[in-house]
Amino acid sequence: MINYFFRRLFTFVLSLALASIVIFSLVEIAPGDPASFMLGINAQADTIAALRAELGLDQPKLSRYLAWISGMLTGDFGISYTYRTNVTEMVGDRLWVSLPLAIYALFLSTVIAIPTGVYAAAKRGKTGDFTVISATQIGIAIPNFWFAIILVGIFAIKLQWFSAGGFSGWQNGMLNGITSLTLPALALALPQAAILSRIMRSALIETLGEDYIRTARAKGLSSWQTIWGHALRNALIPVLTIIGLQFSFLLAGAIIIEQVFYLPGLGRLVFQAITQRDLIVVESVVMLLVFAVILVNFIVDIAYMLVDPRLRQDSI
Amino acid sequence: MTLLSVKDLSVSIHEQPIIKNISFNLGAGEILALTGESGSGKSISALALMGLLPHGSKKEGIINFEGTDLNKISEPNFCKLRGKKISMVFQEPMTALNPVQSIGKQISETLVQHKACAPNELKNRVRKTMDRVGLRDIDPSRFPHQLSGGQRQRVVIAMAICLEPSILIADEPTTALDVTTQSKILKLIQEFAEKDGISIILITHDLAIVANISNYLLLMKEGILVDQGQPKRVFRDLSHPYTKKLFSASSEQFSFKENNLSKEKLLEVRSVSVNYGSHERGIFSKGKSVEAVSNVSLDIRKGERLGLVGESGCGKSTLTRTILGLQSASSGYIKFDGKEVSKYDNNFKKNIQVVFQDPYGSFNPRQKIGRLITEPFFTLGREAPSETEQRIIAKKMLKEVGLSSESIEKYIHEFSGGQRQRIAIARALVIQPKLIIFDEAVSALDVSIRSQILKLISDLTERYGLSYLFISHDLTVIENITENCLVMKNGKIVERGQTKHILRDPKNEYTLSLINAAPKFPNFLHA
Repeated sequence: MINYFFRRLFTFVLSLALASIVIFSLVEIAPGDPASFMLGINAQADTIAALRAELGLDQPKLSRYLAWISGMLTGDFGISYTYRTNVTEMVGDRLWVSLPLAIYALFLSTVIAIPTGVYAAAKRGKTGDFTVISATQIGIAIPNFWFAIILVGIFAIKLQWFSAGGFSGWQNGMLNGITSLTLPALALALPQAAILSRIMRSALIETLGEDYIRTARAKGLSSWQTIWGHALRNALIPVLTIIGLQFSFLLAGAIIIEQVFYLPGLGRLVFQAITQRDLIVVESVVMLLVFAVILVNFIVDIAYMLVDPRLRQDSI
Repeated sequence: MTLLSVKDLSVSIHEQPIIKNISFNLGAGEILALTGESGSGKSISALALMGLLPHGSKKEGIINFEGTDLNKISEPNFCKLRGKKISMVFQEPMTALNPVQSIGKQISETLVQHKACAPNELKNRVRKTMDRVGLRDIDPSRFPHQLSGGQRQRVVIAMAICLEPSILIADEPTTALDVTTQSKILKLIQEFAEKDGISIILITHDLAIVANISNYLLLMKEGILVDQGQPKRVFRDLSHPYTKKLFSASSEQFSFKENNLSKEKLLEVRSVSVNYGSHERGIFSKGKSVEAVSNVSLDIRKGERLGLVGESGCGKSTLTRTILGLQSASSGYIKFDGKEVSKYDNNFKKNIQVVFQDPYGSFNPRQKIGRLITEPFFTLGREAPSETEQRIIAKKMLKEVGLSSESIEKYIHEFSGGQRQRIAIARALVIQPKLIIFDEAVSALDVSIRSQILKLISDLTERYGLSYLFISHDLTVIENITENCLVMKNGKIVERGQTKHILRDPKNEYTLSLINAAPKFPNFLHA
């Protein structure tokens, strides 16, 4: 068990190191010099050179990489080229929107998907199953920004339960913050829930065909008891994998939803930074997202171990 | 006293009739054997009695158990009977247990479900049941993957008998187990009937088991009960032609022509050992390794038919893989036709072919038979005949193995298990190799089909002058089809010699235990 944990941890650290090299190199290769972009097309060559020196762009690549990494490790992400402010603060502010949004959306997606998936699997081939399948089909087919617009139309404009956009901040209380994130989280969650629900359904149907399910039924358990007591935990293994992948997507892929709801999130920050060649921001945010993705996968790996005793033992 | 009485039971699945009007009675403490070949409806009958038929099935008739008709009982009431009054043991112990729950928890579940004892007594009851089924030294907190097949089957049995049911249905409980384990489990089941008075419905395809332990037998064919009675009478009279056919297939001895073995060695395996690295390796440590095959030497001479016997896990498959070059040996060497075999040796590849156990899993379902059979021609490289010639050879081979030449345009799912094994043999023969390895090639087949395939193998190899290595756990098969054999245990060859001598007068204790454990027809039948 400890061995498994350390091997995963080792993979985790190694992935981070490799990712940082790839991100740094990609940004280096990408066309567009931040200094000339900041100074505009009429800038003199010597002014650009001076600004490059000031930004540290004239340093050798390796020392810039090491400086970037060591800064990251101590929580110093550098100074934004465009806004001339501390990137750590900029990212920190945005993270307080994006991270709760992603967690909220993931929570909604799981809460919707698991019961519906289980229900469909239990009723396979019957009307209930058909209904869930059709609903998930729609959920997968419709893009989330369209959901966002519909949700705004119904809940913000018609019913006026939620505001149509913007983020009130956490300083006005937890509930306020959560309320303003509800519609975006729901819009993000629905397509994910549709996918997850299907995975849950098929994983559970497959598990229900296993021999040990029949054994459980032969002991006198009812079909719901069998699902709850034996099938669900086994079927959750593929579902966990998908949840891990979805979280990464929800954290980084919310650009359009943030745009629709005017949310000051990470997605918008990256988008702006790219258009302005604010490479230090791009690097930092992307690295942060990669960190989140790898961390979630690490957690999923550990979760496997908790679900499946076969991974827990160190030796046979 | 009749405990269970089944009258005109019929089951259909998706409108397809599977069981047609079967009737029988089961008395208290009786062992009733339900036998027949695969697809005869044995397992479905058991599931019908348990009320656990798959989706889309319909059953008719009366199943009278203690005054109630199980065909009319509601599902919640049926749940109260299952595990308590009627319980069941399944064929596949490897998959019959939930992999993520400890065995203790799974056994106690039956007790908890039927509220059989107080929570503080639970541990005690589980322990007692485990002792009863021969799991005295096993900790209930262990997980299924930490147990052997035989131990897992004992766990399944523990779950089934912990409430002392009136009826225990055992569906092929020992088919997936080794012979030595099989005889122990069968003894245990017999004890339940004799000591505890539990009535047993034993489903098995093995007529020798039926003859040995049952009081009454039902023989099914295609969903119909074709013969029944006390085994002694049924097997002595053999009044029904189907019974006769099965009986002669399972007790058949056929002699094959003695070959004049040349002195020339075709395959030479010298002091081969194979180590597997343990799965659990640290980041920096290599971990322990397991020796699957240890210092094995064997020769196959031209025209020799050699058998290799051993129980599961003895290293048979690893040895085969090593000979085929799919697994590299840690030490020792393998010579073919006098030359040491290397990985890319084409002469070796085109002269050796293999037929595997599972006729269902060893073919690509998306390719036509023609393509499947001609695949070995790839090993010939430039020497391969043209495509038209390949097809002619393929058609000829299909005829040789007893299939029509039109089969070439069909897909594998259109064939039965026995036919698929014929196709596998045709595939092995197309490039006319010198040596074929049969890896448990008839283990998945019914007795009547098994004897046909064995005959086919012996005919064809004689005609083509082939040598083969026949790997099996079944001594009767080895006896019928090989002249020399090796007995393998824990990666080592423990006995070798002429098959007849070994089977009649084994020198090794292990060989003797294998022979004794194998089910045989009792003597009264031969008298």
